[in-house]
Amino acid sequence: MKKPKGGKLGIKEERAATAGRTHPKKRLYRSRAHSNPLSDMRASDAPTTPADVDWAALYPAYFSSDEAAQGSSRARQPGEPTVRFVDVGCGFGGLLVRLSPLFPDTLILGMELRDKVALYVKERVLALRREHAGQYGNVACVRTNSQKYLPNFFRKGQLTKLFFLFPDPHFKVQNHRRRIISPQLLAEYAYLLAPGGRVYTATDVPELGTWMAARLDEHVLFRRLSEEEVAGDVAGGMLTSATEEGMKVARNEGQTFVAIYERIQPVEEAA
Amino acid sequence: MEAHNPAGHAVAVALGCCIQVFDCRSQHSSEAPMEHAAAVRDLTFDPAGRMLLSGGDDKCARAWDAATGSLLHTWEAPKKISAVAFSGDSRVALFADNTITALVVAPGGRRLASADRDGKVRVSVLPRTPLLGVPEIQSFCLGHTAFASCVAFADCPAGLRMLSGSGDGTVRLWDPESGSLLATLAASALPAVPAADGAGAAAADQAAEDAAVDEELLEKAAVAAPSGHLWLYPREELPPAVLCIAVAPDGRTAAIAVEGQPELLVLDVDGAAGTLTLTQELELPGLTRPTAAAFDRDGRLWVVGGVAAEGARAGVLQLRVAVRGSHGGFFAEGAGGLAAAAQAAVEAAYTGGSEEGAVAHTGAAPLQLNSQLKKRVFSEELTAVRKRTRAEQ
Ligand SMILES: C[S@@+](CC[C@H](N)C(=O)[O-])C[C@H]1O[C@@H](n2cnc3c(N)ncnc32)[C@H](O)[C@@H]1O
Repeated sequence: MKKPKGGKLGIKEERAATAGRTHPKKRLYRSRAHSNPLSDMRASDAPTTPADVDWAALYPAYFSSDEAAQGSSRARQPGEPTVRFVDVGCGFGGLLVRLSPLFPDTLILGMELRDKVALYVKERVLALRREHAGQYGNVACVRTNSQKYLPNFFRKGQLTKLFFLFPDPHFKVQNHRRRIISPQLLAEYAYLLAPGGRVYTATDVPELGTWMAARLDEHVLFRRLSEEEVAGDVAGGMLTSATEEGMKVARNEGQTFVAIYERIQPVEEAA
Repeated sequence: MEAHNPAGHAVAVALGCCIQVFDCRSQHSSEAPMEHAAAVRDLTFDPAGRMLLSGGDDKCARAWDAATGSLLHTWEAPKKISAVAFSGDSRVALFADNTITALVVAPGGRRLASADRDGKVRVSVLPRTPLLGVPEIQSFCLGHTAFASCVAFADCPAGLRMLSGSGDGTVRLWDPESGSLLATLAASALPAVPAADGAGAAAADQAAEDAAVDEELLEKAAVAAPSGHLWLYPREELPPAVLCIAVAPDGRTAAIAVEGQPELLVLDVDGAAGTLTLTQELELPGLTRPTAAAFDRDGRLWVVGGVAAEGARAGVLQLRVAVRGSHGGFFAEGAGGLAAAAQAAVEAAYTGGSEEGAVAHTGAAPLQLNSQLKKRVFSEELTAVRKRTRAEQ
């Protein structure tokens, strides 16, 4: 390994200095705010199939040490724990940390495009696991482009919750196709979600809120939850307060637009 | 690029920006210019054989009258169109942009397969009214380790099957309903290291060196992914790509064209057992570089080969037709055959330029689409390495 050079973002040096006993410092992991998910193409970002992911390495507490030792060559066992919740564009991981104790039996994965941000979340989770023995084993983070590779990670109908909190707005009309909610991607989300599974969206950008709701409303495989249903949704209650972005908006007394949808199975088209 | 009229008497060929339709029965080739403003990327007849649909780098899809060659309609898209298809009832034209490399509607018209540059093959439920979108994905067929270049359905007695070809040099057989991989056939391999004198040892050395380079790359990537999650395909070096898959009406026979290879591979597709077996390496006289193939209703195999210069309106084009013998193997159709006229017309139309020009084109890249995809993959890899290096500093 090459010696890290000094510089603004000497993550490795910093990590060595703090000797893994404290939490990672967020400021060291900042990187450019927006990336273009369509131009970010990195061959090694994705497993070929969901079976190629080394889940035991991500969630060691849920697998035996034997299984962990076999790495990704291990054949998947029926009934073995699988990820059910995914936080797409998880940022600094606030939601993962909040959900973990609330859903201790559910494996939750954060997906993040930016290298350094993903690295920060990984370190954060490891630090939490060290400090709270027996906890936070159910959350993990991978660095990947979720707009391209979700089906490489999860099987059909595997997921029950998908979170899209404060996604990048991509304001310009010609950049709308980069948005994380689009007709094409909704087809993918519907494929990954089990019937009854939910999509959570939150944004402080009114135009994006309207746009996401419109795309979901017009999609035949999604149905918007009623206010009552929203009120009864535990995860839904924390969308505005759990994440770093949400807290920032709250501090600035901004408004947040939340919309929750359910994956439905419409009656078959008459043959 | 070639499409075959399902009615069995015409073949359409695109070279560069131009499309020509050759009618074998009337021995007539389309006279009206059928052109795009930039290279044509995909071409297909509708199931009834009356229309032709083309899409290209000019961001246009065009529907043509197959008999007269007259333009029926043009659609403009925001991006370059890379794949086109007709719905099963011929009433809807489907097209896809950029990252999609192939688009095929299954027999029965209720499934749509698309292949993409990331190696994914997606099977969608095609609604009766696809104008409202294609919202439901049936399956993802995952396994290719380089771009997917082509797909074809096989209507087997055991059920619908699907084949896909890729830049990874393989042809794969899938159950399109579940996305499960049934069989993988290596249609090509990485070119052997050129052997100098007393070659064996040198080749072995080279192989060892290559392996060491791979190791090093893997190590580098492992550093960049500290949690130990690592997926690395040695993508810079790809074997010759599978260019085209044609499946016979019996759903049992497939013909494969491989980049740079003079022979077509004929495969037996056993949908019930889930196997692919190579049954013949078919060489057709005068056809040096087959790039596209299609079966007609009678099970004859039409094959187009040749080369086009990038964006050129000319090139070398060869058309051959193979028929099946009583012993089961294919052989070139004799002189008096239905396709002979079209064959002559094709060759006259495209080698009409200067002799020199033709020779120069022969030396050019075998297939534009393919070389483009490869370049892309290479630059992706470069990006990855650059990024990793950055992440390490
Ligand atoms: C504005 S931040 C919000 C982060 C977090 N959800 C929160 O609420 O604090 C959006 C995040 O999505 C990530 N992102 C954008 N496109 C992505 C993609 N295609 N795949 C994965 N992450 C993506 C960005 O890197 C960024 O960290």
